[in-house]
Amino acid sequence: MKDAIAEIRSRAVADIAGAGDAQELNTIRVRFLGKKGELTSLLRGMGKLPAEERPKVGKMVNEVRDALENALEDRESELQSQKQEEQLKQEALDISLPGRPYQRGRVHPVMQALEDIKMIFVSMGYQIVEGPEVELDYYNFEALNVPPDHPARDMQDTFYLSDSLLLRSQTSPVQVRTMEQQDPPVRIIAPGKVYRSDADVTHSPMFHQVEGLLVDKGITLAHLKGTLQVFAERMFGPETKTRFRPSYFPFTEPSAEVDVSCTMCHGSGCRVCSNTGWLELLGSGMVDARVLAKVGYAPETYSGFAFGMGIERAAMLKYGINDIRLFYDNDIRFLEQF
Amino acid sequence: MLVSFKWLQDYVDIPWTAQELAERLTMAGLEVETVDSLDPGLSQVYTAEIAAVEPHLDADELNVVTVSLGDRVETIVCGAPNVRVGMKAPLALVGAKLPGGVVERRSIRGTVSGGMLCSEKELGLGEDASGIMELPNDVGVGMPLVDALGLDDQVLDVAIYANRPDCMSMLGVAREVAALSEQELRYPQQEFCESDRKVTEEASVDVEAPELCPRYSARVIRGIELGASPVWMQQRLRAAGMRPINNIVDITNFVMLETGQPLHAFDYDTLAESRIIVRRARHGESFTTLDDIERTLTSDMLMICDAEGPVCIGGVMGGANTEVHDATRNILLEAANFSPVSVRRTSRALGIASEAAARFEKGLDPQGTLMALERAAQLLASLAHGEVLQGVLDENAVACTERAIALNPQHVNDLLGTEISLDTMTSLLNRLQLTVDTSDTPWSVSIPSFRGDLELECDLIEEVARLYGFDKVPLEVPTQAVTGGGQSAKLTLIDGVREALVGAGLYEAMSYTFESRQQLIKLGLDHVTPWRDAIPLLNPLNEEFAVMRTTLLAGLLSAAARNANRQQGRVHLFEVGPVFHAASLPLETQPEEKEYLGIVLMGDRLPRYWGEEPQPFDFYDMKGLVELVTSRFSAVPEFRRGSHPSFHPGRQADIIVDGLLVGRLGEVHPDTTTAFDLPNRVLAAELDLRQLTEYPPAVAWYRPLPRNPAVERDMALVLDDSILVQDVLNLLRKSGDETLRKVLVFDVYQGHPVPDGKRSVAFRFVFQGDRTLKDEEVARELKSMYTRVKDEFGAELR
Repeated sequence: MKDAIAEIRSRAVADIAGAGDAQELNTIRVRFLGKKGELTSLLRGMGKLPAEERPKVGKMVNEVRDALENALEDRESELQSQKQEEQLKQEALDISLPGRPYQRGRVHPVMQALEDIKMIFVSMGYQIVEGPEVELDYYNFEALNVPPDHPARDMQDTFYLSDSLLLRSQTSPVQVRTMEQQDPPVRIIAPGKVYRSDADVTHSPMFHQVEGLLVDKGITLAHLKGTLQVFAERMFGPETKTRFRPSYFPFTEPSAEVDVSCTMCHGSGCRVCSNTGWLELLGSGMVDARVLAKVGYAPETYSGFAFGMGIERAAMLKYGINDIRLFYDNDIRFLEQF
Repeated sequence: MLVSFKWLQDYVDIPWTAQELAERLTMAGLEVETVDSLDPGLSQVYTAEIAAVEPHLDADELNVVTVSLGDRVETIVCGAPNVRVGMKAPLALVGAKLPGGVVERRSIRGTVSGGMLCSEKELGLGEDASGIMELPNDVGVGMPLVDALGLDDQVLDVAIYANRPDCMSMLGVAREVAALSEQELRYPQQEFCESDRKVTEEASVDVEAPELCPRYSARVIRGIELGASPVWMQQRLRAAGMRPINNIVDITNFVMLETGQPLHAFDYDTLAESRIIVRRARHGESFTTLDDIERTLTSDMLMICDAEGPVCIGGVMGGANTEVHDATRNILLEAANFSPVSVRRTSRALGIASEAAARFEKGLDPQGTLMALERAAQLLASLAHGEVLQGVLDENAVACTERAIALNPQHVNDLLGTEISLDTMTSLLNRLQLTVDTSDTPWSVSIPSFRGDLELECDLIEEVARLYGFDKVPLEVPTQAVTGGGQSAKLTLIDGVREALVGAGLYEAMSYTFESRQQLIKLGLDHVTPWRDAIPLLNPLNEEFAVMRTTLLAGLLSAAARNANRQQGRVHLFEVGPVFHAASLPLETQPEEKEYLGIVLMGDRLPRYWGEEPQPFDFYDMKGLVELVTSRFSAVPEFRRGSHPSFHPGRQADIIVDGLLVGRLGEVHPDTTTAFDLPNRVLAAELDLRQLTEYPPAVAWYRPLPRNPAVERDMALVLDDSILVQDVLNLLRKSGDETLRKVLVFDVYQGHPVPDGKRSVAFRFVFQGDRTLKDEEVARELKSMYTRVKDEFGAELR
């Protein structure tokens, strides 16, 4: 009997090991462990055994049953994982094929530069204001200390729409409009399109400027320098230096042209900065007393600074663009670089 | 202005190199744009003396010349007619670099030439090519020509701002240099002997328009020997970018460059009755300027006339009738002061941009006429042997008044944020020839006549700052109290629209806001209000920029066409910017500037990729983008069939909010795509953002998430093609009860077995209640909705 049990066990174990799929395993289970299975049949014949043998043999049969159950289970999970493994293997992809093209849109580089500029000044407490692009001669020139026939009008070749209406040649008229509407203190930046009759690789008949104006008690040239230094560092990187050169604008006194250390060579001199180490960035100055008086601010009490910067120029410096016309050409291949 | 570094040293000692000077001037507000060497790049060119000249044996017109370089001799073949023994001339040796190229060793008719004797032209030093250049006889032999002729000079290109006409001269720049370097300024020589003949007996000046001519000074110089001016003067003129002509013209130009005061020389013998009358032109009067162009004058132009008529447009350009010519011996020399406004207007009106006008229109010092006149007379006497008549004709309409400006020294530091001492301030002002009376506060600063730009205290503060050095002003951040920064809700909304479109994968474009009139024709809008009423520019750059745009469509379609033309067939652009609508034309008041949004789509919806068949952008892509935009606002848009001429009549929609048209979208009309040279179908949209931004932004407000399961049911309806799905959707939504949460279209089918002229539209309904809905409740609801659409639209269940 013992031998028969051992024989069934070894045969079943061999069959289980050789089974190729779940169905085969089931057949094996039925054959050995089913109601009419070999082991079950063996148990039935146990009555013939002596009473003292029966518990021993019963225990043996149970052990074999447990062992076979375990073997079946193990083999089943083994087969399952083999099957999964195979499936996974078959499902392998060419991971080198390109991904599905999800599309990132692009903000125009001029607007990106403007966004940077806005963020910097808003964080310093500046309000963003707007003004009309078709402007009155008065705001574009006269209120800014440039009467008719003033030679400074040549500094900006202006497009006219009528005797008194023009396309603003600078964002500075927004200074005047703001001061007319509001008492000091004033802290604004005014971005927008401006127009000058000029066209080559560095000049566009339409371009963008940001005007800045701060008027309060006790504002000094040192404040202008400090503010623009902070701006330059945030815009072009912490190592950026600024240089203030005396200049002339009819509506600021003193006036300063502001250069930043070359964004390419950081001041050591290269082709971009014509070996000077400096790049012209913006015009600025202390608001002329005549301008303050014209809008009804008392020049004895208040002082202020103003600056105006070309956004394209800043974007060209920041991104290394060498032809301003690219900004308005709307070539997809240009726009997708930013 | 071109400033010769060497010439400048005639007036001031400069302790710096040209480069250092450029740096100093730039940092003092005279921006030096470039520093260039005057040497045209000559090398291996030497001064040589002709030792022997023998005819070439095989060529009649050539000579074989032996030249001495001092320590050696060269044999040169030369064809110049003026070559002679003893003359000194420039010799370019083999290998020498000339503007025209490198000199090579050549054998000419069997004789080897060791170099080339050069003309002025060959050296790039002048126009004379008639013979070899004759050098002054006292030139050393064997010297590099650059040293011998003083070509080792640098020219600074200085930008002079409009407020500093006093610096448009060598003396003016020298004055700034003297102030910067604390050196003495040297004035040019002005001494000469006058003859016994009195100028008052030979000529007269009457100023009839003193408001346009505050001062007119003149001298008469007789017996001038017309000829070339000396080399030193020619060199200086060339360094300043002027071409030497003859000694009279050169001297007037030289003195203008030196002093900043323009001069004009009239041929004295051609002046009728030797009279000068300064008057306004008669309206319509004509006059031929010395460039031989006949000009028609107006009464606000100032004319210099003789007894018979105009001889010069004051301060702008002289006349052909009294021009100095080869036979001129006697001249009347004018040094006048003209009204800047008048000169500016006249030169603009006549389109004449002369050196003189460029100076007068910025406002010159009326006190400057005499110095220039005396200097010119001195040069004419010494260089051209002129006889300077006794006395000056000087019509001086303005009395010279001493001006002073009050300066409170405290204000200097207050405005600059500096701590400049009082002594430093006075010393800086003194260096600029401003005398300061410090006996009272405020100080009194007297202003020399040539500094007309100094008017107010702040002008003086700038002078102090300029000389003190902007770089010494400290860096400070304003600490004054501020309110929070930020931008208006409208700008934030517009930024939100841009963000949404960028999020959807579009690229932001930017077009010129002025465009060609052709653009409206291409759009088919040239006769359609409001677009046709584009505001014209009075002085456009060219026809491409002639009118202000009234729509964004043309700019975007042109951009699409440009891209297609460059093999970029997939275009997905949007632009936010103003369009300009005039209340009436011609323009009287500021036009409305409306912030518009334009979108253009062309080509494939996705870039080509291996996993999917390419699908072109279609109407519903554009509609989806428009819905994405409008979802930013609390406004709910409606879409109605539109009839805009630029769009496909069956594939366009007006976008309506609260009954108002806020924009349109659709497929572009085939005529329009042809006009713009677009290869494919194009979708476009345009929305008035100004109108949309009137609506508050859509705000987020939390609604509790539903706890009960939703029930979904589908229903396919067969509808006539003429029925708009939106109308069916609206009715379905309206007729459902509160458990109907959503109705959406998930399929549209046309073709067998759906009859012609009809289509099957499949709707999905989502029901959800505050308890679990029973099937029969939902079925009842669906049935009642179906009954409504059946009655209204004749819809059949499919």
